[in-house]
Amino acid sequence: MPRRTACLVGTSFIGAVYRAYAAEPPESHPHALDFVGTGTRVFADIRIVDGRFTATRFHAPEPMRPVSAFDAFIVYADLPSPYGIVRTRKDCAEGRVSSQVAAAALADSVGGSAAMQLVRTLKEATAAPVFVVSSNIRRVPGAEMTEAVYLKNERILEQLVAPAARYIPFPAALFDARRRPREACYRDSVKLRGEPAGAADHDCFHMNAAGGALILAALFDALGRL
Amino acid sequence: MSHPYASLPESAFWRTAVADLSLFDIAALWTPRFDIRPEDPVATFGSCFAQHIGRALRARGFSWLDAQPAPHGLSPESARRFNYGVFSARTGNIYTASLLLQWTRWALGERPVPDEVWEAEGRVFDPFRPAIEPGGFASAEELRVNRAAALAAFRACIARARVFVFTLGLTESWTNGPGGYEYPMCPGTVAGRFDPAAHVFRAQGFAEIAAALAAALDLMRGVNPGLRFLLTVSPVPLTATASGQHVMVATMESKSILRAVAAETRRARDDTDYFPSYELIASPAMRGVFFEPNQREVSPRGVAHVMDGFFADLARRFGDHQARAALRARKAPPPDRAGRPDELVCEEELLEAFRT
Repeated sequence: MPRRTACLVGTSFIGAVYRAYAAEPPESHPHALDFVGTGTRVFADIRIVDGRFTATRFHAPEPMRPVSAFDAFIVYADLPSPYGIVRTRKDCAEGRVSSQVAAAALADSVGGSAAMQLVRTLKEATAAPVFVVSSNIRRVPGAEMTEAVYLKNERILEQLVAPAARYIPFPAALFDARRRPREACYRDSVKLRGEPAGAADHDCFHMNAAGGALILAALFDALGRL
Repeated sequence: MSHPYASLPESAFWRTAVADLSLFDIAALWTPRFDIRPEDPVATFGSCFAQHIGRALRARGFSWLDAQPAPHGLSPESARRFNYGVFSARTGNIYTASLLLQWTRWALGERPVPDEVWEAEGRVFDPFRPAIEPGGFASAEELRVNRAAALAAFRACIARARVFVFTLGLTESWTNGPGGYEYPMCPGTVAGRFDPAAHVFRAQGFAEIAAALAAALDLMRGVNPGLRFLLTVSPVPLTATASGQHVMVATMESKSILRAVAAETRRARDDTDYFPSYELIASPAMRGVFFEPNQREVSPRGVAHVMDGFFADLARRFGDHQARAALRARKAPPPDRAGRPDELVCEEELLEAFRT
């Protein structure tokens, strides 16, 4: 399996993966991974200028490598939630909107996502394959998360990113049988640079290094299939 | 010796109310008949200028009725392109009182909606909302389903609104002679094909317009007895006239008739008021400063002048609701899906594009 050099670019979710990656010497990993990130609210500001990412708040290692140095990119940020997509479809059906309005609503939902905008930017700037990881799969306001709902959401996200990018599913080990986050992966979660989140900032979307290690393994698995 | 003019306020005299003032200080033209509170649902329909009222109400935290909101996920730009958030339902411009009556009758099931659709290059256009879907509908069935949704939303506006704002825009209209129904635009301009045997031009007069307006308002009150009406007259001149007159003469005639209809309707009905947006823009005392250089479109400054006057006069008569409205606005979800404030949706302007 050839060793790949990939860039994980994302929001504060990447901190857990960084913690897991940095815990071992880089050469011990099957693939090399660089990290580039910023806060969720300013994630849409990330650009590629003169061949390098700009408007980032964190990157490792130093100095930041140009995008041309990477064999692949992995975007780890919120995609439009499957719930949002389902709601768009429902709204369009109930509002008896025309087929072109329904298509525009869906396209706007997807295209308006900062993650998908970055995917497009990467596709324009490089020929390297792009992968996507998203936490939004677990957002189901007003409904109970079940295995069936989770799998349906996964299918929606796969369809959403294709053909521009490939969706990397969350490892099943992150969740219990009812797709609830496992305490072992989400307790004492970390933020963008791998620093501990404040007590008030813990949520069921950011992970700790154990969760990050599971994600990291999934990323390496995807890179190994290139 | 005393006489009735001796005790009149300054606003009753041209010199003190107009001539001695900067045109920007000419104010308090409107003494509202009824209050519009921030929580009162207000529906807005009519010609292009009505869009400003809806937008201003929304921006100031008043309860503008959006009975046909854009679907979740549609961006503000796309919503604008597909005419969501322009009027309280997706009717497109309702330029004439007779069109208002037609929409009301259709929405309330008093008359059947004609079957006519226009086809071009594999797409289907709605003769009664020719510009509502850029590029048209995929099929006649899709069009009819979509129009039924607009009619249901229009009906909901009638039932739910406390105030129904209607801007009178035109006196000239095009009808289908054999069918006896009216189009908002001359067939063949925005869409469709002109058929001289079927399509009939009508320059409507005072009596006809007043009767149509009264019939529409009566029908609406039949559904919602508490409904009140606020009429305005669009200050925007005609893009074109088919009357055979010079467009300036046709414009003056048209606006004079509409203004007279509004006045007469207000006089005849306690449930109806008139807001003088027309005077605030088009009065000679305003010297045309609120028009764009083409002397037709109203500038953003003109719109702001009108709407500032609207809220100031409401506050003068009924107290300032702005604080409460601002609180509502803060609590409301991000409002204006309608895009740039200076961007009006005016099918009539498309006539200009078809000028030969």
